[in-house]
Amino acid sequence: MYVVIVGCGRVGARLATSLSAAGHSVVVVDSAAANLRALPPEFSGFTVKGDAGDADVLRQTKLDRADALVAVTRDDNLNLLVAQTARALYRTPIVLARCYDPEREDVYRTLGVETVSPTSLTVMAFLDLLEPPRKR
Amino acid sequence: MRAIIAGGAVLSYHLGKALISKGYSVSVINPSETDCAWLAERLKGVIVRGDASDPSILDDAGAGQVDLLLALTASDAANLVMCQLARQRFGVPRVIALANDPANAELFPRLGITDVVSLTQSIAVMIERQVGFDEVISQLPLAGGQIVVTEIRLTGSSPCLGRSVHELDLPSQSLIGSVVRGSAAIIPRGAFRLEAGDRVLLLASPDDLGPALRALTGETP
Repeated sequence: MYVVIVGCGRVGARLATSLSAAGHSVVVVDSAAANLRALPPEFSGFTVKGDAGDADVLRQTKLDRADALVAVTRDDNLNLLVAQTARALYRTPIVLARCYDPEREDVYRTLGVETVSPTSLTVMAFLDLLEPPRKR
Repeated sequence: MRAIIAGGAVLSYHLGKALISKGYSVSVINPSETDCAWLAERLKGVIVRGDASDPSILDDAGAGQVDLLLALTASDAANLVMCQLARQRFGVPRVIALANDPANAELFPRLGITDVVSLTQSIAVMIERQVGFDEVISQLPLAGGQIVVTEIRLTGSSPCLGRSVHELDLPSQSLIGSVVRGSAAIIPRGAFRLEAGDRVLLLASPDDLGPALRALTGETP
């Protein structure tokens, strides 16, 4: 699988490294060169330095050939913009975006953007630990 | 009518004032405490401090009741998201997004946001107007700046006076759409001859606008 990952923070870097180690082709985009340099040696994919909101930067990732795009920058809005660009302009088959704000997430589900909300996931994880599901 | 404006303080203030003078009730959303205080002192509207792409902030600004949302921040991603939220979640009938990056002026309509103002195109057109052509009366970029409608008043020194439309050496991506002569509005055919005092409505692509203006006015900016 050819995967473009937008955002090389903790989540982006770990995801990129895991996919790369599993034998997938991975391109990681981040506007900070330091984040890209911090990728571990196990990562054998490519990196693109630049703002993913810029059409030229996305083009450099060869998104037209990608099987999947994952947008995990710290900016919900940027993730949602990039995800929709991939869907509308590049017809990327799998498009996923991180969205911290659960309320924003609801709207994007209706617009057909698949999102993962760390906020909702964390709340669920804590609830499960506080009162295991079978007791609720 | 009610409107929400999200954008820089100075722009929000002047647009807000203009909308209020047209009878709108205006809410302005701005993330900075200083800007909000500045706006609250000057503008007879509701000032909401926060991130306009946050649904609860939009709600505070009355998004459920407004007729219009203007998304004019420096972040194209935020402008897109607040327009989509306003539409989908609050049912705002009209949303207008600023595209700081000209590429987004083409992208946003494909994502359902049809009213887009392209900053770069608008400014380029306005600067071209300021630095050149005294005969240009007004100018309006359309379709994200792909077409510019320009109103020109022909003076005695225009090189096109007495010439017919088909004799003019107008570039291919330009067209004289209408001529106002006195109180008559004319749709000119090829044989129509231009006169001093005519107000010409020129439609042109940004690339061909300059050459077309030179053919009509004889000026070189």
